[in-house]
Amino acid sequence: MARVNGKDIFYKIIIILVLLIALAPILWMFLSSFKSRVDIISYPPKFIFTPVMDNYKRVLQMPTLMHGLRNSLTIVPISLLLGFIFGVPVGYIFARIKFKRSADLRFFILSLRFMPPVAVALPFFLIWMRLGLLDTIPAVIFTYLTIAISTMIWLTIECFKQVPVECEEAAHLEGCTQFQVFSRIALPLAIPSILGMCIFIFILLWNEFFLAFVITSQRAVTMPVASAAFAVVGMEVPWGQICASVILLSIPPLILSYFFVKFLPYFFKVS
Amino acid sequence: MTRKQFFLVFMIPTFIILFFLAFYPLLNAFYYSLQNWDLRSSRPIRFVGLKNYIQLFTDARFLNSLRISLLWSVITVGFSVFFGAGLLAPLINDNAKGSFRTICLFIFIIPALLPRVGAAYMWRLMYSSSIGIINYFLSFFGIGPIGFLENPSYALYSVAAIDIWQWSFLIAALTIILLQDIPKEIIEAGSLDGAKRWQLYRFIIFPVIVPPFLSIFFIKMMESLRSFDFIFVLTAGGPGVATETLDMYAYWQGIGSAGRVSYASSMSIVMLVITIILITIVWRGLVRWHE
Repeated sequence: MARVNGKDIFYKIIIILVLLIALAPILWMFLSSFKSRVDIISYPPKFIFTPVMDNYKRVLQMPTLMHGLRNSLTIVPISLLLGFIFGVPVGYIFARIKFKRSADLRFFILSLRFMPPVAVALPFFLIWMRLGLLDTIPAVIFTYLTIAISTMIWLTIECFKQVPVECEEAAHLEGCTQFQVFSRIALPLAIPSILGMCIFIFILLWNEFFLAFVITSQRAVTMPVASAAFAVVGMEVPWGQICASVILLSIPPLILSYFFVKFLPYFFKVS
Repeated sequence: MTRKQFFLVFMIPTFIILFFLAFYPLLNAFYYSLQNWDLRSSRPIRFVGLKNYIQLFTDARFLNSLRISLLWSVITVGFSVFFGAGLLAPLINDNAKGSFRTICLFIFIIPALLPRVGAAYMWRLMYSSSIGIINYFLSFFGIGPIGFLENPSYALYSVAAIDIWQWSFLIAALTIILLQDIPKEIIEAGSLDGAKRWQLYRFIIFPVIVPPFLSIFFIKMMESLRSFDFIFVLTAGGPGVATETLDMYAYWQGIGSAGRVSYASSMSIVMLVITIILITIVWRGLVRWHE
């Protein structure tokens, strides 16, 4: 018995170390975001210091970052909503209605998600440039529909497949139209897992960097693009501001991940 | 609304949008790739046939970026699947129960959900050779300071480590969830027959989780083509061209500084073709292996 316990403790310690590796970069950046300008560049690194709010104060007054935050808060929800409207019914159709070329269309949707970003970004850059829409919010939203709709369809197919088909058949027999079966039976039953998928897509779009980086420059920059601008700012890296802005940027995904984990089982199987 | 009307009303608008989003840019890119369009030059745009493509394959910098991209994919896919599914998932599955297990799962998905730009900065701060915490710990063992991002021989691996960090934990979490779905009876029957721990994994658990696991593997492979965020924030392709992947090079050529739109377009077409070929080969291979 004692040997088993020893082994148990050994594995527990290993697991805790592993968890530490998972969280260390985030914790270190969080700590650093409260350091003063001197503390942050001191070597050896300081673990104990007087926390200051200077970095956050400065970041919250930076017009580009606040602009990026506002843009992200506009672009991401609208793209998600459009993805929902155009994607969810199609996900249902793929899950329930058999038709010719169904498999081919599904592969097409999958391949949209896997197109190399550059192959998409450069043509979009040129298209928006020619239309005079470069660096505008509608252009970003429209570009993001590639991700939002295709991911939404792909993920909701599984959600709808988990709805017991008997419920829908019963509704059909009662004389419900196809739309009623979808809106009154299938959608309400699948909505918990679909909301999980929406959280996932929200995070995906919130974090998206490359496309936004290419098609925006000032007016329509998203939060990740605004934060990445520090990388090319010059010789001296303003670590304090970077830390604070990265923490702000990471808060929405971190909060959502708490809800997301509850939906994780839905990704694979009905529980 | 009949079934057919429902089908048409919802399918047609969505697929019009998707076909437009997919094919219009690509056809455009192909069209431009046959021209000599240059944003920095005022000469008239004209068709030059396959000149851009021929130039590509004699361009040493392009061939270098092709090699870097390939290396990047192999390293990140290999290590994250090995660490995630091979080491972390069994560790947690066998040794963490109840709420501790849920906490582990929760923490495991955090790195992958972080914005990649954010994660890149976190690691850049830790990698720093002057103020970085990693070099500080290494100094206890008399090592360093190592220029993780400044040394051309380490830079690519240092950046890849971040991707591996994000994905190992995610793959582990997904694998653990797959393992949970295996009916307890099967495993108990196996243990009663005197199977060893590794035999349980090899002969009972492994075959059951292979099909869903392959799709995780496939997704990771495709996601590995998206390396731009990390590389842009950490090294911007440098030092020299040590971490310049295909997307980084195409970006510099087409949008960043050079403005050679047509040349970069031909690069994105080549990239697309390579991706399609790779996806098809891997996908077919996976399907066949599974059967």
